[in-house]
Amino acid sequence: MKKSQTPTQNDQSTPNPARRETLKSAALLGVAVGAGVAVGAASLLAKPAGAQVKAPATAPATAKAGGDLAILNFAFLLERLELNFYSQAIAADTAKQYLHGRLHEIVPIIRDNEAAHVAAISAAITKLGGRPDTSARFRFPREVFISPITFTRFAHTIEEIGVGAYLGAVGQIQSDALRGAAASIYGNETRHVALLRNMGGYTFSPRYFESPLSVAQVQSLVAPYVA
Amino acid sequence: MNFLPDEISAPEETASEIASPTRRQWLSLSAAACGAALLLKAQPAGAIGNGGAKSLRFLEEMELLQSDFFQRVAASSAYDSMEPRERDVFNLIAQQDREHATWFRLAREKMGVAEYAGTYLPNTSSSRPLRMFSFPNSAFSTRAKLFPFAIALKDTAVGAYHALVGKSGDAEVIQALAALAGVEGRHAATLREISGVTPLPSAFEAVVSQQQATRKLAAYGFKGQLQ
Repeated sequence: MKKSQTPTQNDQSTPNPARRETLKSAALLGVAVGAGVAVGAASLLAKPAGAQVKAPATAPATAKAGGDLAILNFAFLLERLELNFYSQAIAADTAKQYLHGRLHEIVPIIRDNEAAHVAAISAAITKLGGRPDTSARFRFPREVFISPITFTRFAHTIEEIGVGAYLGAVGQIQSDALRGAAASIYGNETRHVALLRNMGGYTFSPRYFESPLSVAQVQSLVAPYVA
Repeated sequence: MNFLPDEISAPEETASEIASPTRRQWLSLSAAACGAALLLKAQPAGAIGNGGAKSLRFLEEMELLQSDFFQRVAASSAYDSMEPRERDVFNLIAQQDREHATWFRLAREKMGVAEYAGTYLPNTSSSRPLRMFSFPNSAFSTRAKLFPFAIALKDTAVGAYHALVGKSGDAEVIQALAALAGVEGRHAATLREISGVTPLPSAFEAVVSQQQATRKLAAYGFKGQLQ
């Protein structure tokens, strides 16, 4: 374990993953998702020992078993993570001006998209009689917020996880209306991925199909960033 | 129950108009979402329901149309005036749409769904199929005319996919279609981005019903398989 960095986070009590481990996680995560080999991706990650995303209170071990409300709550967690990430990115950019040109323009739009997703899912949870779980806090490596290269790499990786999560869950949603809404958000997330990949110098669509991720895989992949 | 903001419209037709095929009949589709090669291992499931066959043929024809269009771009004068990066985008889209079309053909054949008689017009003089679709020559003449045309096609395709994802009743079908829909979303966003049009027109993907898509594309020879 290398020297820990001071985290840029909204929960200062939570330790930040070491820089080297974090970058390694992001790199491996990108490879795993990019290759479409989701199985075993969690084991590739150099996450802190014992790290695991605490699933929302209503989220079951598998999305299928828990019903629509559990899926919604898990989606709510991921959307909040993305919203928090972009909010921190913009705040850091205000101070450091590390996002240039088109990236500087598009990130606030993506942030607004994520905020709309959070609001829509929150409203859906309430409509179904649930209560949106806002207990999770998020932390991201500071290195992500100092250059457009590290930012785009990390951002498109986070977005790929979101896309994989939606794709893995969308078929399990029972309500037609809810499934349509989830697919609608998923479609928007795929646009985010394409844009961020493009701006980071990556192929915007490396495969002709998207790859699903299971709830357990997603939990492990985002564990280093959720308190 | 509507889970999306009010401005997101629902497709026109009722759910019964897009009948879902059975789980068994679509297992091969789901498998192929994780790789087209897997599809080849699936066994034909026999006769598919009328609604399922229509959906399959509809999306296959949609992909054939797109594939035809984007392949023609490479031979157009507009292509000559593009920057290398823009050519790469069109080339990749053409390639992936061709792969989508091939995927649908394989899925259809494995499930014993006959090709729609109107898809190919027999050329008795040479036994070669005629081109199914016709696009205005002006669409390929300049970059300024090509990009809006390409974007309109992609937006329609993305919306059509999402309409079917939201209404299919089978988890495997939904996931397979969503896996392809996500890539279409990447195409749409990237096309918009390189042409200077906002790549994220909304935080939620709009849906385009089969009837709406057919009306939009009928001028180019798209049948829609609705008869």
